[in-house]
Amino acid sequence: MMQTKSKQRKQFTWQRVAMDIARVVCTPLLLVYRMKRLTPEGKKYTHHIQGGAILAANHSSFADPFLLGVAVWYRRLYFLAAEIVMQGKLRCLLLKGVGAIKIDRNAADIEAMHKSVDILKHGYLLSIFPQGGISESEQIETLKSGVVLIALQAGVPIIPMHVVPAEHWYSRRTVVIGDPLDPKAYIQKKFPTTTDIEQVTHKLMEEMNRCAALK
Amino acid sequence: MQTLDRLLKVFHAVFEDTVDTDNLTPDASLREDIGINSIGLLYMAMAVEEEFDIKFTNEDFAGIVTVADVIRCIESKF
Repeated sequence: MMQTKSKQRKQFTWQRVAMDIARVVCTPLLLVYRMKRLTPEGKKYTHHIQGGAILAANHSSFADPFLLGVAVWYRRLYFLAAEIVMQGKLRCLLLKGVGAIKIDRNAADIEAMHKSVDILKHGYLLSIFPQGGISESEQIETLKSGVVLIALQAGVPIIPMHVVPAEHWYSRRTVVIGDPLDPKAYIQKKFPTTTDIEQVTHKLMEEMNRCAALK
Repeated sequence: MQTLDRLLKVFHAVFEDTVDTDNLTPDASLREDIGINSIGLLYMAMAVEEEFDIKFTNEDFAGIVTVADVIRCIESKF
């Protein structure tokens, strides 16, 4: 009972109020981008993503976190942001207000991992760009395996996505959304080995590339 | 079971196929002797947290160099 109350209380943090204000302010982006949500087979993606999940997408521009936010406009979306993006007090405050979680990519940032797992366990969405930085290459060749580690710890699926790069900022945008990948379906051990995690990371990369293959 | 034995059990489970865990000593450096990178440290930390029911902080991590440091950190949280 206490746990339920604590979960209810968490719905009303100032950060979530700020996130909702940002979502309302960003609503016109839905009109600008007229976003197409497709499956890797090119069909219209009609599901509403429910419960905690990681959205794992390619990262070709700084706008990607917001584009993913537009793609799942019906949900609050947290995202991992590199330490370099969170420099400066005002920028840090603003980004935290719209759901950013600061992660230090140059160190083993265990506190960012804890925050991410906590958010996912509370049933929220978290977007991660597992390439670890901006890359304009269409084919994904390496992924950071922390995404699988977070999903395993939180017990949530990873949804592979691909934000199709656009020519202009105002161009109509397309997001390809793949089938959820549940790491627990591949790893049942209490302590997965590094090889187990690398294998699931490779599987995720294949799924992300399948999403990217849609022209 | 001693903290070291439990820790070695975790190391063996997590790094069985990449690290020679049978010859680990408390003085072994995680990065230089065992070859654990930053993501490997996170694998290890998550497994250790589960085994010992503790939570690490980034500050703890900053002070961890050897296996003995991990043991010291775990024991400081009991």
